[in-house]
Amino acid sequence: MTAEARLRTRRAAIDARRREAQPALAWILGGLLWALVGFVLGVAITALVRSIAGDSAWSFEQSFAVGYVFALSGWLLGVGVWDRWALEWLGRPVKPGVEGWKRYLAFTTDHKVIGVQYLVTFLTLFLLAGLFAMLIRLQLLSPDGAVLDNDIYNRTMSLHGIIMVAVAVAVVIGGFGNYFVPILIGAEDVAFPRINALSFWLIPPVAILLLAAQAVGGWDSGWTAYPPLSVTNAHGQIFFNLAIITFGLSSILGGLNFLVTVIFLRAPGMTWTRLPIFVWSIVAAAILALTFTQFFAAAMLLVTLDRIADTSFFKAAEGGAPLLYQHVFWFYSHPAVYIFVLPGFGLALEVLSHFARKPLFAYRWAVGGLLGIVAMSAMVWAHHMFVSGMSSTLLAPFLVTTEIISVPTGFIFLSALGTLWMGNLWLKTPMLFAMGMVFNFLIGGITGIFLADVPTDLSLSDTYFVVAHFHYTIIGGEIFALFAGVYYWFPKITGRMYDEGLGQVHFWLMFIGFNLTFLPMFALGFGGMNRRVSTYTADLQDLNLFISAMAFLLGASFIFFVLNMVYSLLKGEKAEANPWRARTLEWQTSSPPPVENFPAPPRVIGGPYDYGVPGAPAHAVLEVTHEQA
Amino acid sequence: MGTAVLAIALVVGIPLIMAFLAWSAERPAVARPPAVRRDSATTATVLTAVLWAALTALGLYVAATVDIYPLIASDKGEEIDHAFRVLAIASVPVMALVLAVLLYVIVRRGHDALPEDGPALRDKGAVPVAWFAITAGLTAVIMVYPGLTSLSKVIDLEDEPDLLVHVEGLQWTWLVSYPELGVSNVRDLKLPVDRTVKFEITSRDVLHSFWVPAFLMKIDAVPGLTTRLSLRPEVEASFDTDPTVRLQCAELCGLSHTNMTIPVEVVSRSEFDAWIEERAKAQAAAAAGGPAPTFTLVAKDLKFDAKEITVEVGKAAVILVDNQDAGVLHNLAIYLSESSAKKSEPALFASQTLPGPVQERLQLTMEKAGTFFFRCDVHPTTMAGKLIAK
Repeated sequence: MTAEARLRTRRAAIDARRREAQPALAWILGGLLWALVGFVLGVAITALVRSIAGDSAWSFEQSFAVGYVFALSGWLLGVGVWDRWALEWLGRPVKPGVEGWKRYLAFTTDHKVIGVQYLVTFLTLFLLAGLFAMLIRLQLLSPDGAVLDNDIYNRTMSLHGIIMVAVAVAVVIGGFGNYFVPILIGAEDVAFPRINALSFWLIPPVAILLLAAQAVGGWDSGWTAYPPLSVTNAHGQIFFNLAIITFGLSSILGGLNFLVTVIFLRAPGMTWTRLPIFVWSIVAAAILALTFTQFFAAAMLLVTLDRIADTSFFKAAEGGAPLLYQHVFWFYSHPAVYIFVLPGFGLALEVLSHFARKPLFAYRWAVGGLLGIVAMSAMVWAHHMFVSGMSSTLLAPFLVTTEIISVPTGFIFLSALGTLWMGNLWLKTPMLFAMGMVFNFLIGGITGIFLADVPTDLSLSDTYFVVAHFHYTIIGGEIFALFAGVYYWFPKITGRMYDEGLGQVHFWLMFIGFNLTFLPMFALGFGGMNRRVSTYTADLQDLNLFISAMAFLLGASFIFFVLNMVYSLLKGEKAEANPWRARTLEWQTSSPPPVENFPAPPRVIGGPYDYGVPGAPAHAVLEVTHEQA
Repeated sequence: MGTAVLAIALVVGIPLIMAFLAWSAERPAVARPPAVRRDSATTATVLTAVLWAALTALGLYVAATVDIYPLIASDKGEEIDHAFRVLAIASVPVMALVLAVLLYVIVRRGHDALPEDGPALRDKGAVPVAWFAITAGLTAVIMVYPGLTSLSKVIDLEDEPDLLVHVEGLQWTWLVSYPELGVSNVRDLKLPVDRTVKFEITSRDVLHSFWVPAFLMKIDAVPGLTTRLSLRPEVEASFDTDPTVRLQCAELCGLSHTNMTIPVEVVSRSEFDAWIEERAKAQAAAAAGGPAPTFTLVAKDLKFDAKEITVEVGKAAVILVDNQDAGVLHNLAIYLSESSAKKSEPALFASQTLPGPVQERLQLTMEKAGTFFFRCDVHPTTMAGKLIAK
């Protein structure tokens, strides 16, 4: 053995020992420590500048905002950017990565680990924000409000809103997008693995900010944060603003990464018309995230400057324009609802085809529908502002564009129904959730027409009709598809089968609970109950009682979900590589897949959904190279 | 009550049924029937078409007959209700089609074991093109009718309204003024029936939204802007008899957003004239000085200086409300009881809500003895007390 080889062996042994010795929370604790250092530095710099200018050294919002910017940099460096990334720029060897279960608590570049990190983080946040929803329904048991005072109610409702919006933005794209897009296109990883890790590790500060805001009064302006209220309310608002800007950065990086990955890393033979529909839907959502997220971040930056730097973008008394915010905000936030729901469409269509054992019907029309929605989504934002007091000349154009967007959405339904038509449906849990999604989104879509029509919107805007409508589109459209995906891909991710009985109980409870909760809310809207209220007129109590009871049922359904996940993870049957006998690429490798995804590079030779097509070749073959042979 | 029982029964019952199903699904003894032979394309189409027709008929019946809004008290409201109904009727066949297909495929699905691959239908043929043409055509129709046709009717402003009303929103109440009639800053909205009204709306602080559910109309109150609505109340109605006859803030505006509501009343023209005359006189008298106060209540640092006010039964009393908080809104409102105030029932007497420093006189005569409740409507939890009539 040469000296060099001996050295290499010794280094490897040291690396391995280091890895073993590393405590599981080392990365996170390192991040927190450096975040604290950064925060102190930021506060000190603010104090210095303020003192030089002759002000008091401490001003809560200024000091906190500057401190946070430094803390965020410290967090990212400490959690792994320095060890795994920056050292290389300086020409020094990077620290070794971790292996085994500790990977899930570390800064890693494996897209599958990052996907699981996203999924677990956002499913946890989803359940947490669901508890806040239970609190809201508890309050509304009585017309005078049963448990909370106005302040706590407004804060709870705002927190529920923004956490759920964040979940909706990131859970499918960040979770399943990260885990499955590279595998579905036959790649080893995403195009920018380190940016991928960065985009995930931006998320914990967002969650911490939103929850910590409650310690300084929270914020009572909902997830929309309309000024002037958001300029004058409690300190918690600044936490919210910084969280949104951070989250926006994460979304933009994610969107960029997915686009480049799908454009450049497709396996040989993976033409655009052989791309699984789920990948198409992620491409569509990534275009939206990359193009529009900065508008929300910019709006929040302006609100932040109004609060800490005495600007007057939105202060009417100083020449500011409150309506300006709404335009900029909705310029992102309407496309954002398609960031939520397009991956939901893709996921549901994917499952429908595999479980109906039929080719995806009108594949090209469905892709056209996704891209048509992307194209239209930038032209409909002001339908959120029909009653905002904006110029009435804007009403008719936005009525027209908004109603047009129902045409590409219709293509998705065409594809779903055509795929189901005369199929031999295999009604496993994923299929139930995918079909539930079709039903729910039907109601969400149809009720949207009444909000796109200006006259009916004048009566329904800001009422419970709107609450019902968007819960039908987001829970009904995206979250049902999310759970279709959770059950569909559980065997692939964990290597074990979920429990079918518990899965079906979860579906039926959630489906019934969801519909009985949100369907009566349309009636509350007609009856004069507006959004975001902690009390209501006594005549609406019966309906509210019923809704609350059903909401608790909906909440209870997730007990079965959690039980199923925990039980199946520990005790579930071992899963084969392809328990669903599906054609797509993720099922052509082991469960769970190896680090490099495939034992040999895949070559794509047929369509992903050619079930029952006479003479159709397989979707892909794994090519064994000469060396392996 | 019935709803509550039903709700509890469902909450308890559904999990039990589901748990039973899950338990029984594990038993191999529950044998599944062998594979069902697929329907032919013709049978499938005919069955689905029949189902679709039945669902459409049912849906159209419901859409045409059900009352959507509990009370429609304005001309624009009638137009909006009509638009809603037309849209509902147009969406019934679409909804029924999706439901019919979903129901058909579930009922005739075959068996649950790993099935054979289905027929390889892709997008050959005219189906997608027909789908596109029909959905685009339907969208174009509803865009024009009821969309654009009723839009102009609903948003058009009356150039020469019978009555002009100014409404100002502020955290967390509404101030209503009748500028042509000499009445300003009252906290209830009274309107004459069958007269056109134009509202000019603004806000003093944050965004609010002017919404009277019974009129089916709303528009935001924006600081720095004046927004406008016009309509004609068509039904005599009041908050006392129908809870949708209220002016409610519909845009989240902070702490007491939920309580930012004042009663609305649509009355006959003569009643309206009498009310305006009385208010105008009272405000003119207050402006001219009026009788000497029998009690002075100081509002300072967001507190009243007294928790108890005593007046004589049957005698006119004058309470001077001395608001010393610069720039802060206060008023004095007397209610039957604390719970009556909480339920947003109208005050027995109330002074104007004005920013300090200002002195305002509230004239009142208590007709019967008892303990009543007073508060500042802007700060209902911190500024309150008892009014005793002896």
